[in-house]
Amino acid sequence: MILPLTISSALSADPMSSQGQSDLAEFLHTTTKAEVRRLHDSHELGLRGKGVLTELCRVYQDCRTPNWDGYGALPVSHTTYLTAEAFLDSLPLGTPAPTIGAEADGHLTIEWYQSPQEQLSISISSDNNLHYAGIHGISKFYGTEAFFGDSPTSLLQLIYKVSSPLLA
Amino acid sequence: MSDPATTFESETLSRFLLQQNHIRADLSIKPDPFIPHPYPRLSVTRRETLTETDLWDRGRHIAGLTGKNLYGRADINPSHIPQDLSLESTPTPENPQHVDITGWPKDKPSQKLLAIEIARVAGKAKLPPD
Repeated sequence: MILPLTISSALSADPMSSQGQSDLAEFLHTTTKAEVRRLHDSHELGLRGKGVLTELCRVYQDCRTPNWDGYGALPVSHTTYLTAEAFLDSLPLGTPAPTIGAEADGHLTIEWYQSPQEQLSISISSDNNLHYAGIHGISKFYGTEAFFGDSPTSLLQLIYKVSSPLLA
Repeated sequence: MSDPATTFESETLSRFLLQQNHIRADLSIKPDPFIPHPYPRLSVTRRETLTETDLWDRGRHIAGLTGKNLYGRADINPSHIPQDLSLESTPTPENPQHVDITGWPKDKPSQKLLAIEIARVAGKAKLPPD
């Protein structure tokens, strides 16, 4: 019901009017966002549909109190949880599903693991830093990337690298 | 500081796992439980004269001190611990076989890489007997 009315409003808007352009842009933005969200919810393409966000929520619930690991761990903060959620939502559709964990310094971890020789772990902190380390065959890599809402290209390349079978 | 390859050469070092999400479905262990915090050292327990039953009892006791469940343990051969790290015997009243893995770098990415190495040599988690 809302969609046809909005389309009608958008089409009837004066193309020379900045208000009309603004309405159309907003309509396209909202519609696209909703469609992307729907695809993220799909079992085939989206991490939400594959249950990764549910797992994130569960790990957060388990680890949001001090000493959750019995060795004096810091609690995972709500900010860290939201950052991890935003990072997962920023990954392209079709990204292989990771698993979620937590570390004693209060970071959440997002891991792609195929074998001891093919793995990548990204730690999400409350200060929007993505600390990562991984192994691919005899190659080892580690570093830090800032997260500003878009998944860093270098990390996407590593995710696909460790998720692909090693060539013999 | 001591050389891990010599001081505890014949003794397995165990890290008790008190979080289920630290153990993967195939029983391999994530690097997560090997990140040192709140101190720049990682607590483990040396086997010494402990029997298998004693070791599990120790793990349950340590877990019980903080009201946690014991989900398993990671056994590490000291000779496979990365060379950058050292071992220091630090017995406590609750755990006379307590040992710290020390010498960790300060930056998180380097810690993660070492944690991955330790998780790799630890192999599969040992699960507590019923």
